[in-house]
Amino acid sequence: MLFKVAGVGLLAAVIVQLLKQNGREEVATVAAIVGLLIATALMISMLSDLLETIRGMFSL
Amino acid sequence: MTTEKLLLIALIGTSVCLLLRAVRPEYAFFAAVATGCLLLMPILSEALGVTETIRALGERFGVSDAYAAVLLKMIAITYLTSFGASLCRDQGLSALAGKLEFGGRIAVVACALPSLVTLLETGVALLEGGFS
Repeated sequence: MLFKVAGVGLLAAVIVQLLKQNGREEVATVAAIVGLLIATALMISMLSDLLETIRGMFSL
Repeated sequence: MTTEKLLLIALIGTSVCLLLRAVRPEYAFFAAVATGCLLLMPILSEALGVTETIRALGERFGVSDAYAAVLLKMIAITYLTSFGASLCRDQGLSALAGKLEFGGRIAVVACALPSLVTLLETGVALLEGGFS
């Protein structure tokens, strides 16, 4: 999961760099935002896992 | 076993965060959160035995299960808020971290208030019974 986040980050960095070099600034911005959203979704799913574990452990 | 696992997760997470911080700093935060979750999972499965012991102790000494539940709830709140606050502080947002900790304190007090009311009522009942 951690490596998924890392992979998304690196991939987004490469894609944004490539798009910027090809002079497509607006597409690069969209790509950066999409990458951020994917990473946020990954993070939220991990956090919900953690919260479920805590809830089960303390039987709340 | 667990300690080595934790050490490995922490070291790998740190290196990934450093790598991401050099390339794109906003992803370093996500990597930090993911590492924190990964680290907490094995710790929590270890700590399950502790909570079981607290419950068993409560049963052994005839304390109501509600009190053990309140205690565990407060521990969980403190745990979560300190997790979030340290993540915020890591990103240099100590103001947010302070507010999160303040909210956690309020939540803990709100959890503890019913027990306090019960304690005071018990004391009052004892006093009234003693003087009448």
